[in-house]
Amino acid sequence: MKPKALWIEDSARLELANLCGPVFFHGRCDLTLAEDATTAVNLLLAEPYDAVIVDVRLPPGSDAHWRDHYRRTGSDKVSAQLGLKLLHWLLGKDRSIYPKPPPEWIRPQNVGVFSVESRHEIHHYLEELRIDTFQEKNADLPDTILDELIEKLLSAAPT
Amino acid sequence: MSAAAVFTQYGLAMSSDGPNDRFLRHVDFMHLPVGVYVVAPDGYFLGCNEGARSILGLPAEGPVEARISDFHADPGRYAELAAAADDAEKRGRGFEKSIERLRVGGRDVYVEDYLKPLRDESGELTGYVGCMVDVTDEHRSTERSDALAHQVEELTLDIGRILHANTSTLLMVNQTLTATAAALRPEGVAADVEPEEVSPEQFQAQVARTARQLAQALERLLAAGDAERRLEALPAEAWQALEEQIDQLRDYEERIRVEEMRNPTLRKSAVAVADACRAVKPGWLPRQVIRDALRLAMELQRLICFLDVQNTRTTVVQMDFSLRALRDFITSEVRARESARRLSVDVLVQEAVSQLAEFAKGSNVEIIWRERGDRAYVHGTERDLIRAFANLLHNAIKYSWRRDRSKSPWVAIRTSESEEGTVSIEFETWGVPITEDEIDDGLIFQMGYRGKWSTDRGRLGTGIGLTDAQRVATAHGGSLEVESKPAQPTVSKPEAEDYYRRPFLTRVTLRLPAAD
Repeated sequence: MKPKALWIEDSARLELANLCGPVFFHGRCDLTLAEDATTAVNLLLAEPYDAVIVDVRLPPGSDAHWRDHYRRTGSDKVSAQLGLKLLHWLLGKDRSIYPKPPPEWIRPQNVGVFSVESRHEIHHYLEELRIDTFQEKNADLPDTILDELIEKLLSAAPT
Repeated sequence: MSAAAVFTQYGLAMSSDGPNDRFLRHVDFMHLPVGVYVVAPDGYFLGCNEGARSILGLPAEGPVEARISDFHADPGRYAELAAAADDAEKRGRGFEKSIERLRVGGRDVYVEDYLKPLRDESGELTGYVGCMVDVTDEHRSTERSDALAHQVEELTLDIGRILHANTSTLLMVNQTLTATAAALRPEGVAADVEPEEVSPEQFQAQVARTARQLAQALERLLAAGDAERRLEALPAEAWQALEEQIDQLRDYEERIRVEEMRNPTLRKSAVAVADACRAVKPGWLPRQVIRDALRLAMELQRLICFLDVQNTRTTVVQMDFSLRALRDFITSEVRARESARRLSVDVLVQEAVSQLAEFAKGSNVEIIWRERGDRAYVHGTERDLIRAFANLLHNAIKYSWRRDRSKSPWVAIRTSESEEGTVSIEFETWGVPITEDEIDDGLIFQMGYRGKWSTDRGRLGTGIGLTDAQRVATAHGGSLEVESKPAQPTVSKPEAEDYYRRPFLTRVTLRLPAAD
């Protein structure tokens, strides 16, 4: 059975769709998308993933808890940084963010951050969450970058 | 000696027997929450309270073997302050106030300092009394605010230049993409047919057909010659990789559930097949079989690249509009004010339509002017009103879905004048929803806010359009109204998962007072 990867990214289907081509082409894992925080949590609670890649700026989706977080931070995904909140909940740093407990299978080694923020901007969060896999989005990236990130996570985290 | 005693000794404000002064005789200056100090004419400390000791980092008690000038960042500053205090006294003024930079324990401390000369009964100068308040935090905050204000001012003045450079780049990108699209024009699209006139569904059907043909061509390639000759032509792992591509190309729709990810995957397959075909050693396999596979792989790549280029062109045109709107918005305060005058609504809307024509064409959206109150006039600033209309039209185009497979999506414009003297300019779109709470809470009018569903299908934007349009409406004595409802009667409620995944009819109406 192939390992499973989840990419939590609201631009995955259009601006960044080309990054998925190499993942499907190589076919080393089954890739699932979540385009908002609600969908991401539903998927993460439903089944384990071997690699989870998270964007920092995420829309909330339909869940009232995420919408509340979003509204409280000015209803702007840039300042809401729901991806970081999602990670804090997911990796057990702040259980108050979401009412349900995070999945037990998740480990920092399973998780990577792929975001427009530079490492300098969010390094303290990454350190606190013990996330080693990080990639800043910029125009110069190869289309294989997502595939490489997933590979890195899969090789770091034994399935 | 208590501070009160020091003050008494030096006769500070103690000459009157009025009730306030009597009260002051009993004030314990030592524990005042501000720094109070007395120095000799040469600045040598005669005494200071707890507040001054705390600010200056001195021991809580005991004699102070120092001069006040020792604490000034500029050692000559104290002499200037004393001279200013003497001068103020001559002019009959009280305490002389200034913000002073001190150096305490190697760091800068900013104090608001008040200094007054002290004299004995004969009028001889005996020293100075001072009062200081630590304003380091406020000072730093003010410095930061000033720096920020300066930066914003610079940015505002320079934004035109910066964005102008970007606009030129976008123009270059768009022209390059247009030329690339022409070069990539797929087979089956006649030279006199604009690619925009061919629906994305037709192109996609052509992609599917070509992918299937390539799968068949690969099957023929894999069966060409005998096993020995094939292994001479290509290594075994290359044949294995090609075999895997057959199912990928044939069943890609079942294998890849997300529609938008199919083309990038097919392109990767096509590139891999083309590379393999080019690597075949000549003389071992029939040339025609290799040529067929290579041709179809190139055709598939070209088709997908063409679609990508078309989409990117639309995005670039949209980005260009966003940049221009942003520049207009930011520089609206620094531009020479255009005077308000009587303007034809029809002409204003026409100008907005012409600005967005290219974007509408690229987005395959038709603009339909349904009701046209061509005698309506408003009083206002032409540039601002055109920008407001263009912002609303831009949103309407961007958030349109195709209503009918046989027709392009469309945006409807209606302009009218009521008997009460209000001109309404309405932009109606069928597609992306705006939720009730976003309208009720006014979120959509907040600067930088992007609707919950606005990024659906990868739409880009800055979140400025509606905010700017509302400001323009208000500045012209008008208003902006937004209404968004399910386009078809629906049994589901807003809480239902699929409620906002259905098309909505959204009407944005700018109302302005009619001009005589």
